[in-house]
Amino acid sequence: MKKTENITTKGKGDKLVITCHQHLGTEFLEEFQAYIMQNEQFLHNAKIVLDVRDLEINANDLFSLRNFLNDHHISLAGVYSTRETTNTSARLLGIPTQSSLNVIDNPSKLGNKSLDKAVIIQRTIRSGNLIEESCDVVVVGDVNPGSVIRSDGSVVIWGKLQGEVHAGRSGNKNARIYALEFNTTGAKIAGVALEAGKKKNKEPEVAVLEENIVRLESWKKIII
Amino acid sequence: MGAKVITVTSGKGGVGKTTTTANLAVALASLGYKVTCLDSDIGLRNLDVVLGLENRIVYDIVDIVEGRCRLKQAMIRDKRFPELYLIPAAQTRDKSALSPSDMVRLCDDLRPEMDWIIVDSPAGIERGFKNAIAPADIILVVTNPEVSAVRDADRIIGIIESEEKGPAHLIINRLNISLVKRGDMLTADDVISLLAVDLLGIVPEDENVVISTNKGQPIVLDSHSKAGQAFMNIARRLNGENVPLLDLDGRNGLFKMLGKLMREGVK
Repeated sequence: MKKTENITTKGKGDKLVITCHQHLGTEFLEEFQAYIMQNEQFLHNAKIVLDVRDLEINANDLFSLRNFLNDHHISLAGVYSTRETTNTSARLLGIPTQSSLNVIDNPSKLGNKSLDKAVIIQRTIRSGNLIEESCDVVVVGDVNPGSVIRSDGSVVIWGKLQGEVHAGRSGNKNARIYALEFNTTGAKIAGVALEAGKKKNKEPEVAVLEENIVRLESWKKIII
Repeated sequence: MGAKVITVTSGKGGVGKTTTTANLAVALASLGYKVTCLDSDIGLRNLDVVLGLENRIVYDIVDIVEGRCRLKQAMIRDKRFPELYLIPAAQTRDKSALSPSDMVRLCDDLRPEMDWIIVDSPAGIERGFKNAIAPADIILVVTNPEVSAVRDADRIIGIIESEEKGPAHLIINRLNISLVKRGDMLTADDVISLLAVDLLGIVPEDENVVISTNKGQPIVLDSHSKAGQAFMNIARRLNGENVPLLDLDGRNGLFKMLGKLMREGVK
């Protein structure tokens, strides 16, 4: 395949990640389309993830770009960008962004073999926030009182848990809830609530469902 | 160069939004800036009372927006500081009399002539709050060291973040040192660790605030009051100065000085 300085292609899983290295500004679309045309045969029927770095793309441009790719039998499986505008455009069109594409390498260690993806959230989950995901959820930050996380998989919290968490929502009994500090009564796994009356423990703990009872165990025993 | 718009909000009512607005406005005016306060609490106005300007109201914010008067006609000039103005809220209307775009337009009209515009937000997370944060460049979240006030502050900070208006700055109001020492009140650190936002200042509980509020004389005018000093320090921090937090411990005086002398003497 032909090479262009500004655009590179790299395989990742079943997808091709196409990265635009330099800030191309308004010429980006033309250059990118030219690149696709040059490599049309190679890219035929491919699933591509477009990494545009700090480039701003509005929803209209992204829409026409996706149509252009569809015309060439290429499916746009995701858009990576450091710009919020671009991510918003992608979300508007239902194209996955970086946060929803981050994949945990070995999900089975999270007690959960059927799921292979995780959403990583790097902020404080505040009162009134509702997070609903069909995959594992990793929070880097605190989960404050009054917030709710519902997940079909496991929930890992690198911070203090004071909100409500429901892991394994659709009945996955292997789902678990991890937190650096467990300070909630609103934890459920597959519909079973955490047993009450446990005193507060300022240590990393994990909630596990065994024999229809959800118990807290020390997280130190488990190596992730 | 135009003015910066500060919105003072809290979620919960009664934590001291209006007191904070009035005191910051007076403090910034006393530092020599041109300041306009905007009361966006339509139907429950009281910024005019706290500033002592109640009986000078002719026109209000809704009159401006609905074209019954010019902007200048509704601006009440404070006699203590010639560059301090108030635009009062309407008392006989409700929050739906204004929209977020009205607030943005109003502040944009004021910006060229002012240094600071301070918007007093109503309690709650509905229309009135949305109106108040629409024009904001800086959002100050006022809370008390109480679980209920901190919960509401957390909720409001979440909304501010989701509207991409953040980061919010925190003011902890009415901290009672003796209660904290007895372990009966949340400490400032407890509040900051839950809310995870920048702290702009801590205002100690001070009964003189109630007296000054009733008189319409903001506490910041009283240089002996710790609460007044705390508000002045917040105003100076907004202005970009690096002012250390007040020593609220009460252990000032001889013992502290002796301790400091001894430590420094050893070096």
